[in-house]
Amino acid sequence: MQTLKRLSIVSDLFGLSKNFKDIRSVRLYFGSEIHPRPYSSTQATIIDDKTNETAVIQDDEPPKEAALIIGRQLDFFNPDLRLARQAWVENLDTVEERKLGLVDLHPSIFGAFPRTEIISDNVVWQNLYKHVNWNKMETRGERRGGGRKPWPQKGLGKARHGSIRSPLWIEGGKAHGPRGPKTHFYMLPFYKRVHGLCATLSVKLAQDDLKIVDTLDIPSEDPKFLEQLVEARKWGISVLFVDDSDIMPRNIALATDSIHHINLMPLYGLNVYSMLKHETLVLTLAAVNKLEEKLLFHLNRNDSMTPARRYQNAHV
Amino acid sequence: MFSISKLVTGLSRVVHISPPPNTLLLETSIRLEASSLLVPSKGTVRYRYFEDKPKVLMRKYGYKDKMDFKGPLPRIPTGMPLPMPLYQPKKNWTEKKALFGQNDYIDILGDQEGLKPIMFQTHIPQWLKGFHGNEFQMLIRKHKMLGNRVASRPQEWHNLRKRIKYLYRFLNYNTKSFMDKKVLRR
Repeated sequence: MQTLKRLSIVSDLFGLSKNFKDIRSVRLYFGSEIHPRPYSSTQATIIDDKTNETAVIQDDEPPKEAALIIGRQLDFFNPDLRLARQAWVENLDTVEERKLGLVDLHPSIFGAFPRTEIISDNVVWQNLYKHVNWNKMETRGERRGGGRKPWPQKGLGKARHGSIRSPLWIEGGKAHGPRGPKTHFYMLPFYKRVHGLCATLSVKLAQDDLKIVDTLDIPSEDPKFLEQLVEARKWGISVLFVDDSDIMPRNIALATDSIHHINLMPLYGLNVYSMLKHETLVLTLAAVNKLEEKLLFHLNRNDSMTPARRYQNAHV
Repeated sequence: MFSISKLVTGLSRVVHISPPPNTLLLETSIRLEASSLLVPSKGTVRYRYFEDKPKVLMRKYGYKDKMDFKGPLPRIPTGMPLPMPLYQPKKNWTEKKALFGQNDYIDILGDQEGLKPIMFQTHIPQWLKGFHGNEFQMLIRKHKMLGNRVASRPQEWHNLRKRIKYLYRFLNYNTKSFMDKKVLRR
């Protein structure tokens, strides 16, 4: 009862989405046809319905179909301290959505406090650190000509001048203009960037914009299939598919080539700006595993001067 | 029933005359000889001259105004294009814009050790990658990193040396320190 009470308080505090399910009572609903599919991730467990211990169905009737993907091994996780987030695993084979299972997600990554100032700092950094302002105006020394005194100092009744390229003259040099390429390079603190990723992922999950998919294999290379799929499932206009490797399946690569607002990205390319630019973020299960592995390593390493815990609070 | 035309003498055919405009008409009756039939007809009482006055006073009669005052801007159909480019909305999903920021977290999420996000910014020249400083610092850096350009770009190199010399003198003799207002303005 205590865990249930904690769940309700937590969900009220952070306004968690309907993706969140009570761990104690899980009712698994599946479609009429589920075809067994080979699943190659190291961390997911394919459990038979009979040996299933995590999913406790409180109804009297037995479930209709067997769950294919249930549970995930979460590292650096103490269930008594924090509550794991959960998300459905969907398929990409058909236009209609079919749930293949329910997986746990680490709360430090997918349940981090969404500190908007950190997300903002990350986006600003991404825009600025590689920006170069190329404005440059020539000074009087750099302008062609202007070495000779145009007319004598006295006697002519004209104003006194030393050079035709002084800033007073037309087509002369600019005295205090922009000078040379100006860079705005700086590096955001490492753990601020780590937490930026965690916060954005948490925001995406909480706002129902994070979808987990088993693989990126789609049946046809026609872009209309993907468009229909995105339309039917009410995914955002723009979708970002993330896989753990940078070599993508042929069909999805061809389909997304012509649709500019649906993009593919390897995991190492994931960033806060892209996650915010695209409405829906779709991760493969392999990508989720690798992502958690990387981020948890950085959040729990003890060889750094700045601990990651500094950015994990709900306030500065 | 007998026709009226036979009754009215002196008329071979019935002529319909419309009364003049803006006249106040009064119905009168003409007694005919052959019968006691009353045929009402209308006659003028007075002419309402003020009705003929224009409601809006017309000025500059015959003058054609070349400026057409319809709409927010003058629209004279000459057939020539406007001296302004045709509006084209920004394309927000070009490849560059769609994948902006792609490898910025490669040191966190990448597999290889020692990768930095600044390594992937190919639009930045060699002497500016990962650099942030004022003009003087930038020129010194360029001078020491691109020394092999002296022979191939003599004018540029000459100007670079001149500028470095000027800035050294100005910043060290004309300003208090590197945090001086005159320096920060640059």
